[in-house]
Amino acid sequence: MALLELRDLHTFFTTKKGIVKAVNGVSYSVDAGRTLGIVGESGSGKSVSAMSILRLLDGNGYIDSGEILFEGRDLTKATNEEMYKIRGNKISVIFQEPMTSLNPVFTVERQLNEVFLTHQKVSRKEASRRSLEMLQAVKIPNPTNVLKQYPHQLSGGMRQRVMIAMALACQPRVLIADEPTTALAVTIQAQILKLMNDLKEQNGTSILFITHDLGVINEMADDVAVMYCGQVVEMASVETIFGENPYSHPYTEGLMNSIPRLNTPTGVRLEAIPGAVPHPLDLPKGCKFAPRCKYATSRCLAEEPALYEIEDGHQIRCFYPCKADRTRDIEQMKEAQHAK
Amino acid sequence: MQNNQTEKKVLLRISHLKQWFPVKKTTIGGEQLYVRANDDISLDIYEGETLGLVGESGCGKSTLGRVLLQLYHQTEGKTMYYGRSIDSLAPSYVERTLKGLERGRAKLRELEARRDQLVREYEALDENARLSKKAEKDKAVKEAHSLFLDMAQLVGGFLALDDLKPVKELFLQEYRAAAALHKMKDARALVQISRNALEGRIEAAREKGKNSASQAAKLRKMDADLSARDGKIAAAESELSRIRSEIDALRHKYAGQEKFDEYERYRDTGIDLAKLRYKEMRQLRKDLQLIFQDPYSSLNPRMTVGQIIGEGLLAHNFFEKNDDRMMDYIMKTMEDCGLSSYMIHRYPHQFSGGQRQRIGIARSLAVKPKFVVCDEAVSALDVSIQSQVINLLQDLKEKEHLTYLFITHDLSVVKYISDRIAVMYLGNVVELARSEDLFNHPLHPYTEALLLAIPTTDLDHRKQIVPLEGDIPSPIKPPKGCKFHTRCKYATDACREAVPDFIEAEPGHFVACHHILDHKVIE
Amino acid sequence: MSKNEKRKSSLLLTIRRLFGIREKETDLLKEEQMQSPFRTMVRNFVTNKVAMFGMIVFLLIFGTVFIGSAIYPLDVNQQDTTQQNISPGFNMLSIPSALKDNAQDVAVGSTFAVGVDRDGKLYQWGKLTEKLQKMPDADKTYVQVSAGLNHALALTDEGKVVTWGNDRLGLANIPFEVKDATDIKQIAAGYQVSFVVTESGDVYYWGNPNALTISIPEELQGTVDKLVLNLTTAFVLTKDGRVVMLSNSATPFANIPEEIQGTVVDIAANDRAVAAVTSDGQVHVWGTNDYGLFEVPEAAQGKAASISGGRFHFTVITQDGTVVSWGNDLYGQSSAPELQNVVSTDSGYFQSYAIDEDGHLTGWGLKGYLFGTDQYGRDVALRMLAGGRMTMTIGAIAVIISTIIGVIIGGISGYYGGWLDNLLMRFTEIVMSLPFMPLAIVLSAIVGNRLSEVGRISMIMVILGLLSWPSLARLVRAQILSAREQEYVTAAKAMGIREFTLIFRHILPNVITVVIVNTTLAFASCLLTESSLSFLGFGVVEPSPTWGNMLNSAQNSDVIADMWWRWVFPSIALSLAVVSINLIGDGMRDAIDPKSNER
Repeated sequence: MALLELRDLHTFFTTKKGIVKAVNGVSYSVDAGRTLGIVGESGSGKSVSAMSILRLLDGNGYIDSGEILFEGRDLTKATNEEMYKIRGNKISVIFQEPMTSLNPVFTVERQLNEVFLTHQKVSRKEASRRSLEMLQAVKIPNPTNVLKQYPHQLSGGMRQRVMIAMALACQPRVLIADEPTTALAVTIQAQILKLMNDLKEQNGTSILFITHDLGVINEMADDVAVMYCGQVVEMASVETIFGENPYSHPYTEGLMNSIPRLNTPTGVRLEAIPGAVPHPLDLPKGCKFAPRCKYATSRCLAEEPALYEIEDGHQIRCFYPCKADRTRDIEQMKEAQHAK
Repeated sequence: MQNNQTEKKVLLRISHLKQWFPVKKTTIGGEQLYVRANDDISLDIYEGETLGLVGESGCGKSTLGRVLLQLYHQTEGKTMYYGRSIDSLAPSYVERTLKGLERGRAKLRELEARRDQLVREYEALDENARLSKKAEKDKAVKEAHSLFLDMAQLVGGFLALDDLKPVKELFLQEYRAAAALHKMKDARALVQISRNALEGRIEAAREKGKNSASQAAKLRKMDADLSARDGKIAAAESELSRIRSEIDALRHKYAGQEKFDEYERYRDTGIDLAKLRYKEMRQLRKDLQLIFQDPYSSLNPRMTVGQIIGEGLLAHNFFEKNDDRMMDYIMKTMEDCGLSSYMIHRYPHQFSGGQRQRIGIARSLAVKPKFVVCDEAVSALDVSIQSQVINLLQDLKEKEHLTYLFITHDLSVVKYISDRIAVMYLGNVVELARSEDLFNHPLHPYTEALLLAIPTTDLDHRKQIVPLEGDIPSPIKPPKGCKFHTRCKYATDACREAVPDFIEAEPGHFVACHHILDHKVIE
Repeated sequence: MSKNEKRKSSLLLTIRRLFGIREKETDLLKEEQMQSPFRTMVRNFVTNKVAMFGMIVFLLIFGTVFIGSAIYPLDVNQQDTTQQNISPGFNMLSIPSALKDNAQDVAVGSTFAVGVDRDGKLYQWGKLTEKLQKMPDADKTYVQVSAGLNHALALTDEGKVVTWGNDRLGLANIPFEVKDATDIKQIAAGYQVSFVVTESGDVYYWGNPNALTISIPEELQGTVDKLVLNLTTAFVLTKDGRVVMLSNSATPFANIPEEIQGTVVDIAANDRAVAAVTSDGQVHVWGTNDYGLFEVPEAAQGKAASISGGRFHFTVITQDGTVVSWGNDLYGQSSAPELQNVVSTDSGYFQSYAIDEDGHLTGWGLKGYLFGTDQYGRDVALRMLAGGRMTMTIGAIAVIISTIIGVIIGGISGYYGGWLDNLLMRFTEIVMSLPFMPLAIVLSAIVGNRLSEVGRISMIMVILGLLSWPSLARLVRAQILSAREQEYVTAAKAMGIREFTLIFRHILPNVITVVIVNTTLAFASCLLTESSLSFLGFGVVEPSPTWGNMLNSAQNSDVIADMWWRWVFPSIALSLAVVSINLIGDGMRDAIDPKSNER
């Protein structure tokens, strides 16, 4: 059984202009010791779905329906008291901005100790000892000094390491990493990614890794969920997504083609996905991606496809999941138009 | 580092550029500290190329882009612009330099004497002592050279003459003629745009079936005025070329003298951007444009798209204020940049991120620039939008014959878009090469580390990133010697002491390292 | 949709929203299309119900104060001892219905009236003091009444005089002669005195001997036919048609025209002039020619039969039974209605009553005071209109002064920066650290006494203006600093925009919105500060009213306890104005906050 499983989750936000369906029927699961990468553009609901797990939603957000099963228990029905015990203890989270997630007026030691003092019955001394251990575990050079420092005295990479130390302090079962390296420089990003991979191997923590960077997903994830407009459009293992595969969602395919890779030859035009992500209050009726999809048919515009399991462990939300078929179809259509 | 590839025309030449930002002092009387955002950068940008500029955040790449456009007042160094002849702008610094030519040369002689003395002292020292003396010597050399360049760039070999006075007079004459011509052309341009606007109004009236005799008469009067002005301009032009041929004749006379020929090589027709006054630089901004990273904050939320794009057109006298043709032109530009023309009256907040970036691009390209700095122009955009904007930039470049300085931290994007790539680390350019060469064959350890640290979408390279250990040092107190030595696995004592020179290790491939790599990273 | 239609529909939408009518959301994108940032701000403001409520309340107050004080101008020096401390209400002309068609006699007191009907029953109405409310015996039958400042007299059919109301100053001590007399012809109550005239032509009086300085010459006794009085003196009409003034002072009242002596049939006195009707129907007026008292209307001249006088007006019954009034018409007391067959009138203070031959009683003149009167008899409502105008004008000018200084200093500081910024900001801090109230009090005490009324008011404006700019200057500076760092300003600079355009197009708009909001809020605080100063007596001083110095009286515990109208109304007006301005300011602040758009 999966360690953490979302079943048909709907998370909505009430705004002045209407209800924004940020997460609209999302299901995914994280197995013990594995990393699920969630990739999607801004507004795809990838962060909201993860924050729903810990119920860390903004004031106007609420879980409309669905289940969040953690260790077999439905978190949507858990009391606030129970959630306090889960947050930071069994499921912890790392945010994008390490500066704003640390309290600027307390030392690193005090903030780290607090985690131990809240969730584990330990003395202050013991907490300090464990804090030091944690800093060593995240490979912070000169940890005894860093303990006495304030967040602003640390560099971005160091702060993110402290955040990871705090998140892993209670050896959580699941770590939610919400774009943890987006704000960091490339070389520092590499350090953090490597650190997270190492720690995962050591502790067997499951990671829910949220990012918009396909390269980072490839580096970190075992399984990948591609999200678009509050829905999962494709879910598969990382090998399936990035490797040669007869099936894929047109959005995933578009993403893959649109980013330049190191081996993309210069001078060749990038195959951009036309248009922009629709307004969350003005979603298209049928398939959410249909208006931007080059393969879209009238059926796509009228009807919303379900998430089909196309092969073992590979789900796609598309009427035409086979790459070869839809390419051929489109060529035939073009020929037909020419003939006319 | 003079370039041998003479077939390509240089558009911008940056030499020994420094941009230091003062840090607020925390104690009274304490040492004034600086953030050394750009610390001695030399770089040529060729016309029609895309030069990629990569580096991690805080390495000073954005600063470099903005210093080029003189949005900061550069601390030291030269930024020469060759997109226009110096005569066509007639900046006032030329007059200042010419007037002080004799005094300047006397000062130069002093500086040179001091330099020679320091160099002699330096040569006499042994290897170890030299390292500490090098900075002082380099400074003296630079000072003398900088003053020399200021003058030699304008008068060339004539600086070698004993009597500068007649030359000075002649050059001043040339300057005054050019300045007068510049003024005339500006005035003519103003008449021209109001004439065009009038013509537009007459045409619009005619379409409605109205004919205004008074307007037609006014138009004829303006045409007459224009041709009169043309005549005067032609006369001024011939006067200018007369003075020029006089100078050329004089130059011919002295040619062959050893010192003259040596100095003559430094003659430079470029415009020294750092010396321009606010007004003069304002005129040049038409040629040099900037596209910002954040498409939201760089657009004034209180202005419509039409106003945003039109603002530059009005500032550079493309159109008169109430000219309907300006609207047509703006709409055309918008369509060129992939925006529907009916959106002209919308406000920035009504657009999506990608569209906003297109507005920013349209604003820059409407004034027909020659050189565009794209400062992380696609970094803030969603993945699926990035490629749209990259394609647009590529298309426009071909159409308008633009030169790009493409600043980004994304190596895949920069490799795709650039002809040449410069890698920056902590305020310095550490490597500069054609993009294929740089990726196939990096010579600097930092470039190598950077390439290894980037996660790719390639399954074969999965879980193979090799992080570069250590943190980026502070640009306020950068490490001595090679700035990268604190994180470099090849570092030796030499790296800790001496700053490596930026040398051309292979044709067209520059690098600043004591231990140039000779192995290939990526096959 | 054409531009006009659009505007119209958005206006409609706004009005509907104001009343909470929400229609179905129109196409979201369509709606977004017509939003300019300015319009968004306006829409945000208009849809904010609290702010709009504040706006409406403020506009009402503002309009009432400025238009009202223009329509009802205030004579700041006007006082009236007869109208002191009257509670609010409009019952001074509320004639009891039983009396209305059956009146025999009526008498007007300062704030009340007394009447007797044909059945001899007594009535009284208007603002009655506690003592007045204790009416005399209802068993008796009365034939005549008279009312004074705060007491009243009545005559029974047995010829007995009854007095009630104010019983001090000897008013209750009816002399024996009067008690014994059986032939009393006329009773007259005045300002703390009472008079009686007998059929035999004798005059008796009692009450406060200092109220009127009169002496009745011995030879007059036995000849008196009628007696009239005003606040300062009394006149008698003798049986042979002569007018005699009962005091010897050389006032204008003493200029009784000689030619009328002997032909006078009726006299009346008010507090400015005395009038006499001669047998040929002519009216002669002497005394002081205020309120056009000497200009007897055509309708009355030559046709007058009898006359009565109020405080500043006269009323005449013509020979054909109609009524004509003239004189002060502040409360409509000189605007007599068209009546017929009038047999008697009584004018007193600010009212007039007329009784026709069928016993119909009609009254006109002052009905009462909306917000009562103060200790000098001044109309609180009128003073609130004028005071509100003063307070708001002072506030507005002070705010304008402080805004100009604040914007200039903050603007220079923010835009040029450097040492100038440093200098100006230190200066700002110094001004900021000045303790406002003590300084204002000291300045006003030292300089204020030497200044004229206008000078003093201007001084208050300037003090307020000069001391309240620092916060705005700092705000403007901060706003300019942040605007200068905006990336679109860099973008405009990189575009080669002229510096002038840069400032006016890109930097100033950011400042203006903030300045407007701040000015609004500063206006509210200026109102309060002015009021506090005036309340303490260091601001605008009496008689010029402001809401602040009207509250001055609330320093007295009697006033707080018993004369609530003197402090409740000004304080309500002040708080309403301040609260509504603050609501507007907060609403505007929310409206220009770009984040409020996203919520």
